[in-house]
Amino acid sequence: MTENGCPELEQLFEQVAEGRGPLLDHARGCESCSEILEQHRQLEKDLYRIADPLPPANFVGQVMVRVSAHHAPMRHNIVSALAIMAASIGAGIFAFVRSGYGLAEVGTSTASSFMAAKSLWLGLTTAVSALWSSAALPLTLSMFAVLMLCLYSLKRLTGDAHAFKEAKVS
Amino acid sequence: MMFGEEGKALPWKADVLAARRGDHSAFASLVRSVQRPVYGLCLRLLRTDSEACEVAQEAFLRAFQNLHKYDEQKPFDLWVMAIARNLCLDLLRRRSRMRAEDVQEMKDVLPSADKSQEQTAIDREERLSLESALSTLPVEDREVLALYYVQKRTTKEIAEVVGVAPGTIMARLFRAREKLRKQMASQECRS
Repeated sequence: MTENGCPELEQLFEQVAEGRGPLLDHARGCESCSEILEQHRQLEKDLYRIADPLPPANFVGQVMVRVSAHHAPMRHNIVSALAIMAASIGAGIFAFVRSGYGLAEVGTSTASSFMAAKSLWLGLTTAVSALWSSAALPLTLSMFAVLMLCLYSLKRLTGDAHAFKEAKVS
Repeated sequence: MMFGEEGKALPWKADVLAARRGDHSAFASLVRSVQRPVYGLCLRLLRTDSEACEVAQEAFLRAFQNLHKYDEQKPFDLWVMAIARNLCLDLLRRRSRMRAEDVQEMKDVLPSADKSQEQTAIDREERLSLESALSTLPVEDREVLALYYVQKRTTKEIAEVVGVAPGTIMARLFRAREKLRKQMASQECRS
């Protein structure tokens, strides 16, 4: 109940929807509640009279242009991707068979690659620590500048008008 | 005409099946049949015709790309409207983050193709003030009012589009209508 003894509007309208209840009896005798009910009725009447506007005349045509533009490349891309993948795998197998290497040679070459990578990693870490001990501030500043540039570029890339892609398709 | 499990007519089913097979004219026919409520909902939510047009087109494109996920026993228009609604809310979230340029008010846009029909039903001044009050409400109020009164949807259909339990729609409707009533009253006081 409100301060002036009238029911809460939400409860009153629940009973209005049901078509019966003690609050309706109150509303019939209460000038304030009757007025609010009447305003709601009038509002509903006006709202029912509003109609949806028509979309632009070329709306369907524009949709179909987008449908055609997006559909063809997608199918085309999948076919191209599959073709490239098949060709790459085929070329790899062909090169492997052609070279005449056995599994032992593959193992040896993998181990030597690992050793070379280890040496490269050692060299790189030594170079970075030497650089850090001699020019820490310029290094930090340039790394920060590169990071900011990357973030700015990413923001530019994601901030375009077609970024609706996250919306759910229910 | 095709019928679903419960004997309901499924007028969109044949077109959906044809569109899935790649028939673009069948999809165009689907777009034609539901373009008005989809565009109307976008316009009510976004309040600018250019954005509404863009988002409604995007919604149809998404619908086409995801036709294989659509359950044809359910109404096609509600499915597309749910997609459009999600896109609108997405855009509104982005817009509230950016809030850079002024938007053209919907009241300048709405008196459109249906003008003569509407003018016979309701006085232009009254309708404009109602539209103007409607456009000041939060998006969740605008959507239930638009779906229930403008598009004459049932609470069950609205619940399907909005993604809530049907029981909550009547309460939402009441609260939205009460806000609208107060907004109209304050507009009258000012004028």
